[in-house]
Amino acid sequence: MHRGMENPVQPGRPRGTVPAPLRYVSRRPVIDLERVSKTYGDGATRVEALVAVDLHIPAGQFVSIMGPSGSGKSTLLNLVSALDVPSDGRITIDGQDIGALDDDALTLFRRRKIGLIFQFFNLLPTLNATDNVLLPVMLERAVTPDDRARALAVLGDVGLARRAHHRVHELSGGEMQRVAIARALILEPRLILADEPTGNLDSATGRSILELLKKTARDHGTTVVMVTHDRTAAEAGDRLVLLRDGRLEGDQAVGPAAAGGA
Amino acid sequence: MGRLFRPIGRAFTSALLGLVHLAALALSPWRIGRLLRTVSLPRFHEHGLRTALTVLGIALGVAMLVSVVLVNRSILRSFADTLDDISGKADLEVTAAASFEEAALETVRAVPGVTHATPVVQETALMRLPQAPGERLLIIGVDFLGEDDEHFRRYDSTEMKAIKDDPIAFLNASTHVIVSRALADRFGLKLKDTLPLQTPTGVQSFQIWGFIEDEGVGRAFGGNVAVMYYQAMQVAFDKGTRIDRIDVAVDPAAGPDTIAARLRAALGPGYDAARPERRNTQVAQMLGGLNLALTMGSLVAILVGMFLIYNTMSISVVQRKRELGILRALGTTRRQILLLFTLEGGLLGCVGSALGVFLGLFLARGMLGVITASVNEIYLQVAATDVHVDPVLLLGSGVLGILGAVASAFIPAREATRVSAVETLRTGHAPKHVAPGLHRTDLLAVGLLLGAVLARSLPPVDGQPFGPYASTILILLAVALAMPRIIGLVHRALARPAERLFGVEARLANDNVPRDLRRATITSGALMVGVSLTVAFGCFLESFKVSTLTWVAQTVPADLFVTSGARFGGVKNIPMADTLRDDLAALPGVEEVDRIRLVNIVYRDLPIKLLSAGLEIFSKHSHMTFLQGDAETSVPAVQAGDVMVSENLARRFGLVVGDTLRLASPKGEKAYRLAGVILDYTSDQGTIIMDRATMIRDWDDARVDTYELYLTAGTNPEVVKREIEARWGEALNLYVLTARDFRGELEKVLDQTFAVMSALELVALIIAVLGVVNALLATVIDRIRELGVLRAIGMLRRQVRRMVMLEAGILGVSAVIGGLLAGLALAWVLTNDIFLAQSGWYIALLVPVLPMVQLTVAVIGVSTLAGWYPARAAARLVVSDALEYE
Repeated sequence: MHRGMENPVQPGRPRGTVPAPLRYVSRRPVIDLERVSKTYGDGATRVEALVAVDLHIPAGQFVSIMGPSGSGKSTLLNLVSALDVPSDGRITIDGQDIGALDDDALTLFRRRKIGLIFQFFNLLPTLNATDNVLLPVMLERAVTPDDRARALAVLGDVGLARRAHHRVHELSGGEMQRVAIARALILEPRLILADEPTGNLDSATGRSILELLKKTARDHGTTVVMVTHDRTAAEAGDRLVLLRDGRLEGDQAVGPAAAGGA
Repeated sequence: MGRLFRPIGRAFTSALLGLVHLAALALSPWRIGRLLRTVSLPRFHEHGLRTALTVLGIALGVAMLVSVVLVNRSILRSFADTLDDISGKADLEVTAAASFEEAALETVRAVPGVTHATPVVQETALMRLPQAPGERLLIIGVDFLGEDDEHFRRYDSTEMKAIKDDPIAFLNASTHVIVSRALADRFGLKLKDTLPLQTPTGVQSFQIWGFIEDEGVGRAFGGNVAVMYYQAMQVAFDKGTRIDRIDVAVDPAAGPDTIAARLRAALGPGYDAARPERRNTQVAQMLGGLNLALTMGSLVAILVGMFLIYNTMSISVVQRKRELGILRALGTTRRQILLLFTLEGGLLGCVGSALGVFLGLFLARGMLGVITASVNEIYLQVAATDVHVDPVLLLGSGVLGILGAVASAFIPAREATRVSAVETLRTGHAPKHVAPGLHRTDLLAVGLLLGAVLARSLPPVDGQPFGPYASTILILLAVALAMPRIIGLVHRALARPAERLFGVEARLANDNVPRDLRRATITSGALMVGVSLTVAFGCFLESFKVSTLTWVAQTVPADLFVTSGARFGGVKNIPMADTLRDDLAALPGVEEVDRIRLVNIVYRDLPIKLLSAGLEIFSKHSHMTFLQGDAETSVPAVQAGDVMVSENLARRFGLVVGDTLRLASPKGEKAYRLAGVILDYTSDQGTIIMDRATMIRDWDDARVDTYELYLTAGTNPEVVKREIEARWGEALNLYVLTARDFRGELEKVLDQTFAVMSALELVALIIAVLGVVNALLATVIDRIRELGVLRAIGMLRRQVRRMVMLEAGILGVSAVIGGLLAGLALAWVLTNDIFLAQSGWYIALLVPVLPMVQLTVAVIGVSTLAGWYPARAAARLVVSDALEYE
């Protein structure tokens, strides 16, 4: 594995051709997976969820990960979001080898460096929209008036300025997901990981959420990694990584990036 | 420590689950039994710890009931057995207020219809054997040489047969005794051994002339029994020619009641003739208040156990809605679902009750000693050494536990039947449980409170205040129904301060509490019941202690108290012949010596105390509180032969100054004018106070239970105490207490008396704390996904732990507030209604502030700690698994 190589994960790509992600060659990878494997169980029940995956994602890139059920998408996302540790290989996120961190350090790393967005929004029903957004701050320290102003600003960015003080049950699915995005953004993480963020929304709302994620990546230079089943949603990003049976099956530029790179 | 406890906890849980399994197997021949085995058992296993905690809760409740009832029964049974063994086949017994002249025997024998009549003298003495410290001996003086005695009692004794054939040598001295074989074996006593006994005239050496086997008389008083010839006993115990009773057998054709009437007519006023069982009834009545209080206390433990079952089953219904939907979709009827869930509760109840019965048997053995000691200290001498196991009672307690469990499971079970198959399967999520209409509960709570107020004023039944007891239950239910309001108030009140003090974890914990309001209500409600009991008994005990000790300080202000055989005069002590007074008065520093005699008498069928004191000395030092009459007029009147009564006796019988009290004295019925009613805590049944001269005149009893010494100013009581102990302590087995010792000992006796009550409160609290653990474990399972999200977005394990423990603590805060409210109301009913009805004493309710603060801190602390295990489970969740959990 060579740090300087552009995009080493190019299964099926003929040598000499230049893949679209090479646009980011000058940027240091935010996510760096080196021959990462993950197995569950032993003996007859042993399952290889990921097999020697190499993946490098530079800063500011919006990467979609697709694959059929059981392909290892969720496992990959869990590893990248420091929720799980690999059985083999090395994962470096924003320059930090996460395998070297204990549980507390991993948790703090997630809190400060990673914003997570889930399919079912997973907001706390007892808090209003602003407080849900402020939750990562509350876990970090006492909330200041500046934090509150920032939460309102982020809610404004996601189009929810007027719903800031509404309770979760008073929001629509799309609005809940926007709150979840605002929560992911509040500590200005280096990386946003989204697990099927549009899976529980109608297509129009889904499109607006994808736009928001793209805008976030563009405006804040945040890296976005999104797991999805939906091809249309996947093509909203800059790059599409395909997984099958725990192995990388494809890695290509999509959307405007593909057009620019072609 | 964890390594040590974990296997124990697992083994315990597995054992309990094994029992649940067995109980389910027993039902497997029926369809519902099979459903229980296939559907419910896996759930019990899945939530093994919660199942075990629930079973343990019921077991503790049932165990307390079993042990309390068994101990109560055993004490009464012990008394009845002794009575049976001694009175044997007597149809009637002739008694007077105290000992009476044996001349009455001839009158009795002359009554037509009396077939046999024999005299009995009875005393309890203290053994002075080094190997039997503090052991008491029941000595019965009988005419075993006469023919009539054989009709009543059976003595399985070879030596007695020999004595009967040749009694001269045995009758040659007044100190020859025959003891039970059990006593001889226990203390290694042999024929002709010396047995030193504390008698009213000091320590006397008796000689053992034979043994009675463990039958009939030989097993009376737990086997601590000796037999003497009655006239020898009269000499040894300085009783002149007096006897204590006459056992009578009657012609069956005439019937005991007719003969009893003839005997009363023949003997005249002052004597009574009644069936021996009447003494059992009197004792049962005397101990009725104590028994009822203990039984009510243990029923509360079962009530808290029922909360636990209700909580467990409610949680189960909410968590299994999806499964219920599938069962309904597959054709299980609503009736089957209702039966299934009710049976689940019943099954837990069965196992818990079975365990509780066994646990109760063990507890009873431990508790018997404590309660018997209290009864011996306060009421009468019993030798209850064995727990009388009554299978019907055990079965009854077990059935009560099972019925309680079934009743508690019924409401959640009915709720389970309302689960819609379509809705549950479509949504895939259990809908959150929302508290039912609060206004209805509020109204119900107010209604119950009104009911409690009304129940307070219901008159006692057979002297027992059932109305006020019902009032306490209604208060508890009313406050339990108000718990959602209290939880809401606590939630709002803690919102800001909790977050400021403990950060976001406290805020999230506080927000979590009312999310499942019913679960929170039941959990903190059960804890509230435990707290309220502690508050109520704490207040009551403090009020009673302060009243008693204040009374002692004001009314009994002697500097030294001298008794023989026990620390207090009245029940356990050996009355002393009046030989010490002059010697005590002659000691340097002693100003005056008063002599107190306390005799058990029966007034209007109620066993009460008759107290005599030297009124001249007593009134000079004592500041008696007069409720009727006054010191200026009443004291001279009592010195002239009138009497005073205690507040409780006056209240029981509606006595007022000027009334005439007719008492059966050994010299026949005597009438006394009531000259005053005073505050007096000598006996919870009632006390009549007369001058010592009156007692000597009418009762012919000059013995002394307590010498009360008043010292000159500046005299050190300790010096006088040491002097008395040195001179007479050993010979007369004296106990010399300074005023401070006396107060300390009194406090000890009070604490000992209420120790069982405190144990019951503690058990109720333990069961409630099990409920907190149970509810929080369920909360953790319900919120696995949410906990996963919190961990994913950066909540540290320790923050999770703190959050769950704080949630438990906040439940504790609500419980303490509800418990204080309910407890103070209960304390009010307990002191002003229940205690007043049972003892006739009015005591001012006091709230001990510091112990209440300590209790508050302790309950919140323990409740918080109860969250430790669920918190640990929550913190250990695998985040990625939790996020996928549904």
